[in-house]
Amino acid sequence: MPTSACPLLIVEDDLALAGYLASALGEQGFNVRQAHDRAQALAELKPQEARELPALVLLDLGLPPQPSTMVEGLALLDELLQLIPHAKIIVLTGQDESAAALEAVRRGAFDFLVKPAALATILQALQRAKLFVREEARLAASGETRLHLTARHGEGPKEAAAAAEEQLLRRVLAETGYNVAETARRLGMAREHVYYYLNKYGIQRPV
Amino acid sequence: MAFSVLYNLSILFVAAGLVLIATSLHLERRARGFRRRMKNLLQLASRDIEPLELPALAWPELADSGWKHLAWQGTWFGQPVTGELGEFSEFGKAPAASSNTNKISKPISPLTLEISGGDEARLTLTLTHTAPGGEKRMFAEHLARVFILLLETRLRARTEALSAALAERARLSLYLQHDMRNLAQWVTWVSADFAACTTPEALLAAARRLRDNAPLARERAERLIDALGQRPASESPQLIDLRQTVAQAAQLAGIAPEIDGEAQAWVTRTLLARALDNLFSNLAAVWRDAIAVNPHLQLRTTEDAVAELHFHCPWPADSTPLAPEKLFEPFASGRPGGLGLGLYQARKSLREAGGDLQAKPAVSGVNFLLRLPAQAP
Repeated sequence: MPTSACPLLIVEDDLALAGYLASALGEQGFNVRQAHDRAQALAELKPQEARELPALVLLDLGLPPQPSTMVEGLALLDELLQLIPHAKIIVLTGQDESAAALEAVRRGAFDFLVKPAALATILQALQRAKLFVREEARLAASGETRLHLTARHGEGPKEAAAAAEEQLLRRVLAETGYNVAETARRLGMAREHVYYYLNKYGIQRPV
Repeated sequence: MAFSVLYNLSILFVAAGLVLIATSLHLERRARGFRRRMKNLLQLASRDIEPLELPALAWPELADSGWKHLAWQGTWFGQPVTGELGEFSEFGKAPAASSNTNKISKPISPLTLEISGGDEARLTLTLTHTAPGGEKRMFAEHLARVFILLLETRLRARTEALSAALAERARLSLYLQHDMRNLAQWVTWVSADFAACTTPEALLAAARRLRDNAPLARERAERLIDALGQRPASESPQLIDLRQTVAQAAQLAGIAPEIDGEAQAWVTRTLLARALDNLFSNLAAVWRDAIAVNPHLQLRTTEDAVAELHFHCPWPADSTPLAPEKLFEPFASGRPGGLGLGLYQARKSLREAGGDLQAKPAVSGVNFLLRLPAQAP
């Protein structure tokens, strides 16, 4: 049964896989876009008329120019988490299972699948992620946000609080399209304070 | 009388002693100079220097030892290279016999040395000295031979590294895993997709998907077979539609070029696929970054039955353009993070297939010309 359209970005360097997956998931009602490397994936996030930002990302960690390592995929994961903090990113990889899973989840990936993963498994993971996207959108409408934090015990609660502070700000900024006045209103603070935090965490409006 | 003889002898011994002292002082001065120059030359061995840059860096020491001219020529990973340092003068030529006297000056023969790194690189170096012989020339020749040894060591290090890299690449321990896992993933999806079809419509949709994706997966599988070295060696050349093959190879590399013209080539399919794969994989990122519109490729067949593919590729935005002789040199990459093997391997495959790949640097990038026989010999 096809699900309602949901913007999904597939980042996969293997064209045969990307094409097949896009076709199969498109048939399931996802609004699928494809990228084959980091640059193409970031280009997909540039604001364009009549195009929504991806709410779901299926990300292959082994991307060119180093498809045998996780370097490029993890770097892209970090960028995606900053640029589209509301999106749920499911990592799909053939890399060493435990190391990749730990690292991707630690950084903020929503879920993790190891190749070869069955289409049904991928679909199930995407539907679960979609459910979270919907529920979080509902929470956001009522003025609440779920945060994903990985805090190191040794760094103490202050660092964890700062990470939460930064993430909350990024989320609300993304939701308001980087409108400082609206962000300040939603967070119940003065605009000057928003500018202070932007400066503190080096947050910039995406180009 | 006896006193006079003794006196003359002592004068002779003193004179001979003075000559010996002067000679040893002279030789000692030459030896000191030789030691200093040798030390400076050997210091180059510990520096990270490109082989072709070595002559220019060693030249001050060589010139100081009396060499007036250094010329080299040969091939450098398929590209012809020539160069010279110093001034070529009459030093190197045997002077003509004087018309006034029958005396003929001793000709100054140049020192010619060859170095090679297998079939990949070969250089002939010719050094011309001011002196035909003597101790000055002897010291200078020692220095020159050490310089040649340094150059040869660099070259061999480069070719050995190349062999190691190619062997590693051929085994593709990691890349292979990546590609094999992807192919396994594709097969899993296809079989699951068909197994889940319960209606004729679903079956038709799955079949369409398979039809659209199968050529890409087949290319991937063929590349894996190539990498594993399992392809039968008996594959013979055949007439191949270049337009279709080039378009497919470009698509696999993630680019969609505009292709003008038609041409057919008489070539082994595997070698052509390998060459195009290396070529386009190497240039795809540059094309994607630098060109707003699709790359433009031109195909044609010349009057002498050669199929030609011509195209221009810009330099990567954040890179230093490579010198012409370095375009095909292994490990010399114009792309940050590039291995520098793509163009080298593309040309190697094309030459194996009886063709060639030529590249000429232009102002904004490189003009490539791929040539293949258009018909059976």
